[in-house]
Amino acid sequence: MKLASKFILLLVGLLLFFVLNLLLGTVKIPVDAILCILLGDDSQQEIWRNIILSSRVPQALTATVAGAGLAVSGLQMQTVFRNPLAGPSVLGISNGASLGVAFVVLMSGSLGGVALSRLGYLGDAAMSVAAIVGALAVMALILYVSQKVKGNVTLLIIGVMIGYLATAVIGVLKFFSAEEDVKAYVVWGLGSFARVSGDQMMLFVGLMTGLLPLSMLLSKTMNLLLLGDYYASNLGLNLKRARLLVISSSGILVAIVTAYCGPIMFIGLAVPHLCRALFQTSDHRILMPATMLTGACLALVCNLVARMPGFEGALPVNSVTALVGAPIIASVLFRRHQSIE
Amino acid sequence: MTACKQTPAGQVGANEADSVGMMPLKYAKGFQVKTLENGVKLVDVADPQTDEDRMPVSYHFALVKKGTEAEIPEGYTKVEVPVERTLVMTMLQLSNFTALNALDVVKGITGTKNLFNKDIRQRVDDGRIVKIGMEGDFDTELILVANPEVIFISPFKRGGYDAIKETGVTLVPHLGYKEPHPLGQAEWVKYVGLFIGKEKEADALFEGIKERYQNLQSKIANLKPEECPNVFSGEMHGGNWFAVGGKNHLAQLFRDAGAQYIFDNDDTGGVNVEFEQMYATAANADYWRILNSFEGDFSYEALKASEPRNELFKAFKEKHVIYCNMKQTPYYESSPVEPDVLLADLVAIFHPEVMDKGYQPRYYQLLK
Repeated sequence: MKLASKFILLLVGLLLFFVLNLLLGTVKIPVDAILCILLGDDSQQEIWRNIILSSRVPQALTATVAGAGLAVSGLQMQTVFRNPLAGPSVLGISNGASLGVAFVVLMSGSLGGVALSRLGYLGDAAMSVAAIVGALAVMALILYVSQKVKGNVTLLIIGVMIGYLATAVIGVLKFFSAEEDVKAYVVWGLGSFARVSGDQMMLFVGLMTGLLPLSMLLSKTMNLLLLGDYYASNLGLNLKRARLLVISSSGILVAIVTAYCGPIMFIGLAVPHLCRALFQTSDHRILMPATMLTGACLALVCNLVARMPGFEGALPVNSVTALVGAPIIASVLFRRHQSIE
Repeated sequence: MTACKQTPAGQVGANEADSVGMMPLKYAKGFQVKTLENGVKLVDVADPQTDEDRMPVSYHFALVKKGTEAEIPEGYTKVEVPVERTLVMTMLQLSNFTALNALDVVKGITGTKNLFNKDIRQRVDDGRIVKIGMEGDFDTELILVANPEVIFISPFKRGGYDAIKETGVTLVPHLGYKEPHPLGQAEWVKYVGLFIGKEKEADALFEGIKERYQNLQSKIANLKPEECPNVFSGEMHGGNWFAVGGKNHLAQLFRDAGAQYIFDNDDTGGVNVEFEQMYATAANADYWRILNSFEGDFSYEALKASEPRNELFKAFKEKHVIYCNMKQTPYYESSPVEPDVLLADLVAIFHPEVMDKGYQPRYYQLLK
């Protein structure tokens, strides 16, 4: 298949899954009613209109940009560390986000600060702020370290250590917290595309549609990084600066997605592999848009599966991403390796 | 039959205080008590949410007076009563002890966050009650030091009891929280009373609760269906709405207060419901009950800030949110033994005409 037709296929898939996300849900709404609502017809039932416009559309949009962001972020991490197991969570950035949320959810009240608990109730919005602060704090630390240490492996290990540290602090916080608070934190950790709505959703989607194209600017830099430090610097690449840029881009994307959807695993790790297999290339000028589209598609599929009728409420996205994604990706990789032999 | 599917009032067992035989329990489904000829009391405990007719018995205790010897049937764990030292795991259990004026028996609790009772706080401060860590992750040494004779547990929640079992302490399940009727939940005070030798007090306490509950019920017994407002409950958290089922004690409380709970299913606990389903069901419901912890005064603005879609509900638009702030009200600490007060609060909202003017609600009021 030609490159162009592959991209067209991905785009069609994206569109299809997006529409399916609008059509299917726990509440049965006829297709023609949905079309009328989307075309701005006010005569339809108010309840249906609110469901479509305030629940399904935001959710589909959120899944699209979150999936794209996570996938790109994972690709960037894998390239910068030249490690196929790297993913958005590897540098402890998502753990940083979790720590931020844990502080707000678990410490509210017990830290004595009225301000903090008020924040705690503002609920999901406050959690987003805390997650971004936590993630960016860890990222700043990583960036600082990245300018001080030479080896990628050292940086990777330090990142993993920071992740463990954050997890440990969360563990201690959990131990001293009331049961309801722990539950609230656990629910946040399950990940969901359904919790963003209203202005928050606009902000989230707006931020991501701005940042995603920006991250494409790094495609060439990433191609050079792939050659190895020695060749890359011989070709005139400022290694420290390149690392700083790619890690920041990846970190900011993860921080924002985690803030609004919770720590969503798997998509970031797996989609880049899927794309390399599908497109048979390591050229980031192709891989970057491809991972973006594939990530968005996969997230939309997962969101569909999570809300399939018969389940009690929506399944946690984190379980679905792996349940749906792991077999797909394993089979693609398996077939590719068979055909090479 | 009454319109809002209330529990029929005023059917009380005639022989309440039999010295030998079964102890009549009208509402609690989770435990049975039988007194043997030799004075031993057999207590069978089971999950109140399983089979209604034949209780599948899963825990058995034989209560024997301290200092006496008595034969007990096989399969029963012997507990010498009255128990003088115990640990409790939940606020609901603690509420039973507080209501029976038996805090001296409580030697340990799981935590003091959101604890209002000054007496208990004082006891924790001066060491008469220890904090043993959270359920599922106990400090075994503290438990051993507290030296309880029995520990009241809620076994269907979390584990972490194996280490305690090793120490040889008897674990006694308290399943009041699973009772489908508010009065059934309150009746568990009798269960605690049995163990700590306060049966008479517990009986009297429960009789009072029941009488007040049923009196209030009878005042609104003849409502027509159209006079029963619809009510729903809960909030959106993390993308899902945790809604209690139609057989939950909260749903029963709504019905007894002359309202209709929007879910008429057989779920006793709670289910996760997606926003769109919740909205489709509850968009036009008349009232919305919310129980949460909020620092300061909760408001419609705060409710909207937590989830912008909240304003879509009719109950929000009409300012019909029934609210209880756990930061300001000892909800879990005392409401399990005050279903009559909960009922009165709700009746005052749903049907104010039957309440005395100037009624002061203790838990729920309309959010301003």
